[in-house]
Amino acid sequence: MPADDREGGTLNRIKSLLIANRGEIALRVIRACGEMGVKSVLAYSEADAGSIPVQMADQAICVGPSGAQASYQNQEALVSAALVSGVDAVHPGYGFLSENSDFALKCEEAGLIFVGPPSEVIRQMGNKIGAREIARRAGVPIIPGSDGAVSDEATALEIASSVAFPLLIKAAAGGGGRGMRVIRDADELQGAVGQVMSEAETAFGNPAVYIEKYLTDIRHIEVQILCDSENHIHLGERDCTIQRRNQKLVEEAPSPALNARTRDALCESALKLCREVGYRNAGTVEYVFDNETGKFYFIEMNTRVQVEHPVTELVTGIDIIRAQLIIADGQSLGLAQDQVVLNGNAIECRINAEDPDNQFMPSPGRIARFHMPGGLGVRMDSHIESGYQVPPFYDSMVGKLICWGRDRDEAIERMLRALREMRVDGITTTVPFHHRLIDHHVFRSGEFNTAFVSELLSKKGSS
Amino acid sequence: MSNNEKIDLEEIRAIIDWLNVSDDIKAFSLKYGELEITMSRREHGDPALIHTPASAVSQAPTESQAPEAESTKSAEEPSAVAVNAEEGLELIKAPMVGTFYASPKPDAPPFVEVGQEVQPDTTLCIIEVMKLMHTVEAKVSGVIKEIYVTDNQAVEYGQPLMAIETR
Repeated sequence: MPADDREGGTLNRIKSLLIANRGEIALRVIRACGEMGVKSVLAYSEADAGSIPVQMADQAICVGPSGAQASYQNQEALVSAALVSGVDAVHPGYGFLSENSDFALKCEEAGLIFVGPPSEVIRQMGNKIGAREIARRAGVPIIPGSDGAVSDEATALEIASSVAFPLLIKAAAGGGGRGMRVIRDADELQGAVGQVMSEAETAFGNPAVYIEKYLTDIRHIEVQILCDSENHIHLGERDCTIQRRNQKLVEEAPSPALNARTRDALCESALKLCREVGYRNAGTVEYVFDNETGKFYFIEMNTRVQVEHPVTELVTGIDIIRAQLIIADGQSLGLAQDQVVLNGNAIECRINAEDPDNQFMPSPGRIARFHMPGGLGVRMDSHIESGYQVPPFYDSMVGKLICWGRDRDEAIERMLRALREMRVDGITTTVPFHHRLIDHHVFRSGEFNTAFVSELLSKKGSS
Repeated sequence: MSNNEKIDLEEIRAIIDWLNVSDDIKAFSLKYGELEITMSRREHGDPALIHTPASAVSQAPTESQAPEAESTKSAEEPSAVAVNAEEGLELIKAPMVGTFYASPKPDAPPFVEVGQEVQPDTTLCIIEVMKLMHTVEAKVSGVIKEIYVTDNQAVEYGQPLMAIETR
């Protein structure tokens, strides 16, 4: 594996860091701080008092009650916590305020280093219409559809005549699978633009919508990038096609669907986008890959660390959180593109406290016993322990199991073994479902699209 | 700074802020041109009391109000939760994370002192959050029994500030 540049590891400006998050990603950042000699200060809610991350952090500070709005999404409380604890920087993790440009701006204005891109870049990429326009300017392929926002049916019909039904109406302020509607024909288009606009207004406070051709036989593939003051590099792609209702369940690297030429073109286009927008720090450029034509199209950029970043870490040997802190510190990673070498395959299963036999209903409660799998090539990032009470206030993810193999088959066998080894007693989790999914001949073949999970669920037991 | 004769107000503020969160500095003086600043810290009380995880783990949980009680652990006030359980005592907790001010201005007398009688609308203290001053009122009638924090101290959400003996 290529060496992470250890010489860049000493930070000049960041001696202490506030982590504005919880769960496994808080623990992940605490671990990076521990290896870099950075003091970790964890902001936590009352529900998370006594949690493993609170115990592991060098310091912890309660910022509010259990509800996320009053704690992990409370910008004033988090900036205040950073100021009174005297930290140099703030790491937002993923979710919560990680892609909130107002929060990044508040940190900047308070003299705190925000571990992420500048607030202005977050704002630009957060607007999906604006991001689409930036991609077009950068020469990155975008899904055929509208130029900018659409507000009337006549324009929508014009687009339909040029790209053909079905169409997708999407909210400019949406993202992550939220705020969109499929339109199959001209009848369904009747009144739809106005409806999605008012839904978007309610959900996101911004009524702007745009239209794309709706592609069905697709995969979701994303490119991990790292941009410091000197270099823009990519760490290859992750395939996140295994989803349920637009929520990722399994991710892997590299994608089994890409050949070397397409991979190069995809990763190069992600770098073009980053250059166009003046990107800084770690980020992910998301694409859909059309199985029919073999073409890829930009959909959105995530201006933060991703849940699934460990699969990239396992195949590149590069610590992405460490890289984020080095870049935020104003240093160069000292890493050139040709030093990034992909080695083997990695797969991640998101372990959720959900009941797969009951529409994936959340299943909070007390974990009577937890046994973490281990062995060569097995990594588990989780904040749970025996006796842990899964709080009902937050995301249902209780951990991520990531397995590496010299090739995809080895990674699959290792994942199946690790899933069998894991014990989470007391609550219902997605572990058995993952075993069934990973062991399925279609998953093993590598040939599937985003509809695979719903197809698997609809013909339960027939595999 | 050598080529710049004027010192910036922002810089002074930054120095003071830094002193407020540096708990190992007892006294400080700065002379720069015509400007001279001297600061000293009161002997009692840790200026930046934010509990360490070690104390969080060792703290025994109480039976009642589990989530509330858990937030009140601090190295300095192990009895705070127990006090809350006593009859006729109202525990005033920090409504937000920030800086505790006992008085309206640096040299002014404190809003309240131990033994003082208070009404529901009596101001007890100020919590500063990002330069915004939030006043905390007693909400109950009674007598200030104890004050757990000192002026200029960092407080976390839910941290006990004072106990009021109600009647």
